[in-house]
Amino acid sequence: MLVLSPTVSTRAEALPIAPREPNLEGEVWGFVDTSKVNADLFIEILKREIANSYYPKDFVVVRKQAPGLALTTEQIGLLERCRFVIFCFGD
Amino acid sequence: MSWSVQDATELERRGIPTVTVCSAPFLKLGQAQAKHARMPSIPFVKILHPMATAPTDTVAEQVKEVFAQIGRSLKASDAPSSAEKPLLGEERNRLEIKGGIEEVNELFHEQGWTDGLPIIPPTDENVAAMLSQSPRHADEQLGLLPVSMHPVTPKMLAVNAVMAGCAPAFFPVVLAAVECLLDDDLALYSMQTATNATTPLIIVNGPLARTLCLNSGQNLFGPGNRANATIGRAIRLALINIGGEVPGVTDPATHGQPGKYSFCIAEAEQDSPWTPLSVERGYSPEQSTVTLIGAGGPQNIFTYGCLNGKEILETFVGTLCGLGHNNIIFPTGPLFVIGPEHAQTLARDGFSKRDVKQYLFDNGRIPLSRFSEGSQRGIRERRARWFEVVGDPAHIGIADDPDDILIVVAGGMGIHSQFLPTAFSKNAVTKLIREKV
Repeated sequence: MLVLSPTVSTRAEALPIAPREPNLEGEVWGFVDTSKVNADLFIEILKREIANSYYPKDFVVVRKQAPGLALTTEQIGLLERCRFVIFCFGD
Repeated sequence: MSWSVQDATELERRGIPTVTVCSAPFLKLGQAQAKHARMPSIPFVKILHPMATAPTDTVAEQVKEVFAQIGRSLKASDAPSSAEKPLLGEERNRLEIKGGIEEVNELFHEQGWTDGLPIIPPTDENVAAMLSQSPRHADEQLGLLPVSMHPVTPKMLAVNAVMAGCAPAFFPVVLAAVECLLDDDLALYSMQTATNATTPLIIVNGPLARTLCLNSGQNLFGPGNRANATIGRAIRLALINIGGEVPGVTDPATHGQPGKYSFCIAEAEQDSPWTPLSVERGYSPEQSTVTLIGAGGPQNIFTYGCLNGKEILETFVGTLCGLGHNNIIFPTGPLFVIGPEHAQTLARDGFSKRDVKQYLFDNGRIPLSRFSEGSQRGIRERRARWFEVVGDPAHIGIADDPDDILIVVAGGMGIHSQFLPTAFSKNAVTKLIREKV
């Protein structure tokens, strides 16, 4: 029997991730608090560890109103000040 | 995980290294989302699950456990190579399968192309018959369907509608429903990638609902009607086969719900004392529409012993004032499918549809003191608009505005109505059903 495939497949090249630097010291670190319960606590503890190890210039934290919402333009603008961004967390 | 991976890919595109922390059961979802976003090398760090109920000590231990890995994910030395190969192979439009309908079903089940039920094999002939009812060109791109963000065309929809068992006459409804899925206000991506049981409900209004014999009466959420069953099923199969929904991977729903097989009803306009939903939303009674909204499973409201409209509404309010339903946390207004007997009694006692909404808005409120401290914090954040505009800071209501509450009259005889908690959607989305002329 000759049947049609119900799925879509397309040829697509993978996009590269952002270039990484060899050192993490002395930079601005960004965090996205997804508003999942305990994400804020996780970030606070993580910030202390980063401060002890990498002597950051600053921290920027943006908190989502709900995990299902995209970052706002304003939040992306804040995060563009950062050298790295950590999403905390999916749970 | 909902939007984190989408956001992370956006920042990576802007040259900012990211790492996404996620608890173990969500790693596959994140990786699948990254692949669909064409950035499969985006780094994840896995932590224990669940974190939501973990004490502070456990959270601190988790941070220490993954701290070095977070650093490595952001550093050049250990970061994955950005030189990638093509992600996917060539499209295979047609499959030659030895055997008949049983063999086709076995293959489709093995490939994950079904909802678990048998399908009608999609052939050139029956797909062409489906497309004969399409007002749009077979290869026209309608948009990108979450979660895969693959392009969706009438032809691909027709294949899935055939599989679902749709009659060709149903196809314009399927097309209009997909136009709703593609509308940002429905927030399909978040809905599809959440643990919540919410899924799009399809509500059909207008003369076409009657022409196609859609069930707006007894047992309308149940089995027995081909149009309701197969239109809803066609949408689910499209979400699986075009949208890349894989239960347990890209669909991480904690429980899911039966409406994920098929969730399609019509409004009983002929039995309603009030304006139909589609007319409220700007269409004429002569126009046929579909309205979609993210909805949970229907909760029965049984008004045993209630003698008048006010008593009926008090019972509605009591149903609304439970602590755990989605309309406490989500600002999307709830949906009521009001049985015709209830609607007639309410109208008899002087309640217009707007009056019913206002009553539910004014009385469907819960003291914040009934919630835990953590829940109160979450409610204040996620229902910020309530606290900004309503002026009742001691309570949380089931909508931010009476007009956000949706009412549809449908069902058969009996003193029952249905409360469907809603979520994710910014608003219900209504589109005109266009038929081929």
